[in-house]
Amino acid sequence: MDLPDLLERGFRYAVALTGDPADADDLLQDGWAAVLAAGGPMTAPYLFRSIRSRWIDRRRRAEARPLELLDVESPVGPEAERLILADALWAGLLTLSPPEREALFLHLVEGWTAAEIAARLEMPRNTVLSHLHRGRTRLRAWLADHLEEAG
Amino acid sequence: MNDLDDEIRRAFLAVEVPATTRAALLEAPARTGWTRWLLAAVALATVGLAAAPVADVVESWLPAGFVGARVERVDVPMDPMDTWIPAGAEVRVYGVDDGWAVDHGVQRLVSSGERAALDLVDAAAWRRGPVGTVRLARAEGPLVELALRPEVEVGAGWAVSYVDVEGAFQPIEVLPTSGGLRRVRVEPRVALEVMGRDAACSPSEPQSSSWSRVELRPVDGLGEPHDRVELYDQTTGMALGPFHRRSYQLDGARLAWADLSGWMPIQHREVRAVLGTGDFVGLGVEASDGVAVGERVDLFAPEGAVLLDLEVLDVFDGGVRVAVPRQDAPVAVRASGPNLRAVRRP
Repeated sequence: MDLPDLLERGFRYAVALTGDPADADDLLQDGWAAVLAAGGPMTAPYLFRSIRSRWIDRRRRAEARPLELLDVESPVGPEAERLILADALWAGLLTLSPPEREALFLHLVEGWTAAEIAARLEMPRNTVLSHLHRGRTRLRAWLADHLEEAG
Repeated sequence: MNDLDDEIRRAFLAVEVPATTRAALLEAPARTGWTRWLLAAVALATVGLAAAPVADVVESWLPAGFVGARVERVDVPMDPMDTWIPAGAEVRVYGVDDGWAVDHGVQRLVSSGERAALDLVDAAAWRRGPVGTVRLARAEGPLVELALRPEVEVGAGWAVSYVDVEGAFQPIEVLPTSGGLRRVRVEPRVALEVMGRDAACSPSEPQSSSWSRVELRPVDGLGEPHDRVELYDQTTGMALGPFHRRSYQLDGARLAWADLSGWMPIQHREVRAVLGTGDFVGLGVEASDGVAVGERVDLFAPEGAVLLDLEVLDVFDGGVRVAVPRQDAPVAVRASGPNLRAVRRP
């Protein structure tokens, strides 16, 4: 069990879900603590499940409490800007929906098959394939536009 | 297709978990599954050993101050809860006997594990009262970090908790769960009570379900949007943990207040906010006129002593933000106040 490696993978997965390093940091800490508290196995699927559950909870809470989200500037800070703006591909990835980013991450980085993603995220395999296809297509189109604008 | 897939893979693999988070989450070894049963077995063995004499004094010749100094080293069975403390640390030693705790002073932990070796820095304290079962707390300035026993009920995660001792409520900070352990950072006196008879913790009431608001002072100087704000207790210098700013209110160029996620022990404290910047934190202080960004300044304490030699990160209306090495942050925060000034080095 390589905990530092697992931590990095967990963080990347959280970034794939949130698209924001600061949010991903919070999510990773909560998910990691929950796995330890539950005495669960320190494996990527279990950690990812813990992170995903908390991400879903947060989204629900945010949707239920719109008034607490104040008239503020973007929470994206210097660290995020370094990460996102310095890399056109990341800018493109952030235009994708979270399920598309998540599917691309699990398939291309973690090496899960569409069937494995479908089983672990409890969704139809065709939905996973659709997320992968649409994610690639939209990203390619965004990059083409972006590169064209950049000359 | 393959090129795009490779690019996506590379983009994700370039993402790295922040160093502070990595250090916090990997600080103690994870204890899961069978290791918990192993620890339970060790705990039972320790209970058995507690009935027997627990400490063997081994006098030996060891380097201490100068080579060949004679120091006393004691060998004690350690509570399995305390094996997270690394060898070499300064520890406050407690003897827990029949539910009552006795403070045996700050000693040096030579080796950690099922049995601990301690070099007696404060031999007089060691000989005070019954030893019983030995518990250790990591000594950290005026505060100690203590692992909580499972039967001590605490709020999870970042929650603020209170220890109820004979009707008195004392706010304590619960640290992030690490390695399956719940730890608190408390004053030595409170630690004694937590380990003694009838100690119990319970979660406090948060200010809201998931947010707390902290008002910030002008001198905090957090005018620009930043993604990482850390809070310190002004009185003790205790770090209240890193928090990500979710929402905030700017008053002109000044950050007036921030709403921060999670429960935090801010209710009865004077809180200072600083920027987290890796190995350094950015602390706002008042400054003499004409100090510029990049200059070195001396940080003067109220009594006139030079506390730290620091670099100016930013100049803002009413003060400057200086880069304080993380290990010096508690000292700087404790000292910071209306009389603390940053002055350009001659």
